[in-house]
Amino acid sequence: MLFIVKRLLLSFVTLALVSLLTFAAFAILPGDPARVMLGQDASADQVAALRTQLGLDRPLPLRYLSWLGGFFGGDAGTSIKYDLPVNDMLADYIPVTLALAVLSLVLVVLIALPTALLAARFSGSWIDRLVSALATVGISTPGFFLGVLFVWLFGLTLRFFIAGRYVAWESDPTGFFAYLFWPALAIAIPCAGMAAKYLRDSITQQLESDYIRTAYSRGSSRGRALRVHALKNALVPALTMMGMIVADIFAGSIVIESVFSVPGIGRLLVSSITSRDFPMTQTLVMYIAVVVIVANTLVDVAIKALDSRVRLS
Amino acid sequence: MRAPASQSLLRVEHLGVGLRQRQRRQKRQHTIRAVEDVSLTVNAGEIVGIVGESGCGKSLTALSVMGLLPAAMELVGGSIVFENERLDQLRERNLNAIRGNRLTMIFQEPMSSLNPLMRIGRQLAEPLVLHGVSTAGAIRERVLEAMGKVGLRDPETLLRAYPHQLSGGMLQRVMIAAAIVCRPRLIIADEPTTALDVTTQAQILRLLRQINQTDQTSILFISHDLGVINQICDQVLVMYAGRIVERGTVGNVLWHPVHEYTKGLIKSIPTRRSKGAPLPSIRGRVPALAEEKAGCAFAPRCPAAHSQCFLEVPDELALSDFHQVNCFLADVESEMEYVRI
Repeated sequence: MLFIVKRLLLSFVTLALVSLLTFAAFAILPGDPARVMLGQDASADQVAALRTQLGLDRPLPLRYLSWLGGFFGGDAGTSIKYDLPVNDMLADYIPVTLALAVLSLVLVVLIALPTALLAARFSGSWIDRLVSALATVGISTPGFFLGVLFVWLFGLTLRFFIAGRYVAWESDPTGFFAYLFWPALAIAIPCAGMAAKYLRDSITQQLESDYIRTAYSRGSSRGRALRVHALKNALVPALTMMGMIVADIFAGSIVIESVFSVPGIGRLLVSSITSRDFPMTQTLVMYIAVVVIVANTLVDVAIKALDSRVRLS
Repeated sequence: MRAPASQSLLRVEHLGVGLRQRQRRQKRQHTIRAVEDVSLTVNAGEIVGIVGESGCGKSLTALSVMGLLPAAMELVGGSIVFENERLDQLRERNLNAIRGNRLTMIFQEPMSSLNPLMRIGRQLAEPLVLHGVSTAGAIRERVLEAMGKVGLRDPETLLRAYPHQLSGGMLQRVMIAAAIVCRPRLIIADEPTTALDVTTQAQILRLLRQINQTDQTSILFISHDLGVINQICDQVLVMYAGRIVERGTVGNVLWHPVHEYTKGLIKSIPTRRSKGAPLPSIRGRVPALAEEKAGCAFAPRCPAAHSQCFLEVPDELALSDFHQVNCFLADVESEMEYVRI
């Protein structure tokens, strides 16, 4: 109970800091949303009028405070670019990105877990070296490059999917996931490389510990000792990494959504920053922070469930 | 209390353990030897001790019997026969049928030797599960029986506990319970009391002795502590730098030592009489694995070494049926003297 209260308080502090940082970034960033909306040909008077209309003539700290009050009160303000309530817009965009993120996470686990187990089981062999090499390539390949590669190779050349034609959930749920598979894979590969390498090291480290030797002394086979004894112990540190991977997945989706024209918050974030849409950007950053905080809390709870020695504090 | 003369349960002959080396056109004899020419026999119902300083190869000898040598080490000769089976030639699958069943092991660190994330109950049941006891009722019965034998009270709570909730002494009892749950013929105990405090140490020793006497389970007992060896063992082997230097019954070896190394070890045991006086120690140090050893490895530290000691490795000299020594300085006559008295 105390843990939950502490976590909530800490989360609020984190969120406040995140919002302050976003605000600071906007204060430094040159550019004027009214000018962006009206274009270079508009007269200074027109721009000034629009600024007053949008409330942009108020000083930035004041705008920040009014947005902050609104955000925690459930009204994140109105998008400058779209002139729509931010929260209403996000109701359409967030589920898409969440689906993409969950799909990516599933792919990360599906790729990383078996390869790590295989590499650890045959550590030092050619399999281990191959996995390690592939993982390194995966880690060092940027997601956006994979995205572009997939669009060209699987979309335009092999025609596994139609590049750029996003399928909405409402019209075709299967098609929706089939389309999201490719961007999710592009996001997942660098993360999976990292996770596989980390998990493999974690397992091999556990395999050298005393209790594994005890298991062998009792007649346990190597494979069984790995599955029954080492894996669970190795998962504890690896789970901590999953929290970081969730953050990475969201960071990855920002660019990948643009590459694959997925109408999620990643693409929305990019366009909001370009058009200096302060309320929208601020709110999006906050929501992403919330997701990352929630993911890390879940990771902590999962670790506690695995390892009773861990105290949540 | 010795079992009547019987067939040997474990017979190790000319065992060698070497550091595994990458084969870069290296000659075989360049392999660094950690254990060399170790032979030992454990008879049914007997407790055999191996004693020596750290790094003398006693644990490696024990681990080679179990087939649990660290990845960097390998057997480089000799044979290990347990109940008429060549353990050193068995496939891993067949070895796994013996390990944990008829041949078990207890380790030095009970805290790290148990899986921290697995309940005690499951860890105690593991040997049974691995060796063909499959019904929950039978497993439970055998586990409770073993727990009773090692004096673990309140089994219900204990079965559900995790290792971190127990003390070192209790964990070692759990380890012993797991080692006897399949009713083995031989337990290898590698410094089972070293990590424990003195009172617990005495209890664990008594427990092992008890298991040995009630079930006729043989024990190969590894220790650096001559006092402990004296308390529990029937036979003792003294190892130095990977070789056996003296062996025999505990009475012969510990009370009438012949090898200068054994003498030095015994002298460095603190006694009530030596209170206040500086504790004698053997000067010098154990040679490192890679050091070239010509002659007797102990010669550089030996107070009585002469030129021959630095040139040749002494062969085993049988002082009597119950006492053998590897030393040029020993002669049969010296032993006969006290035997006659």
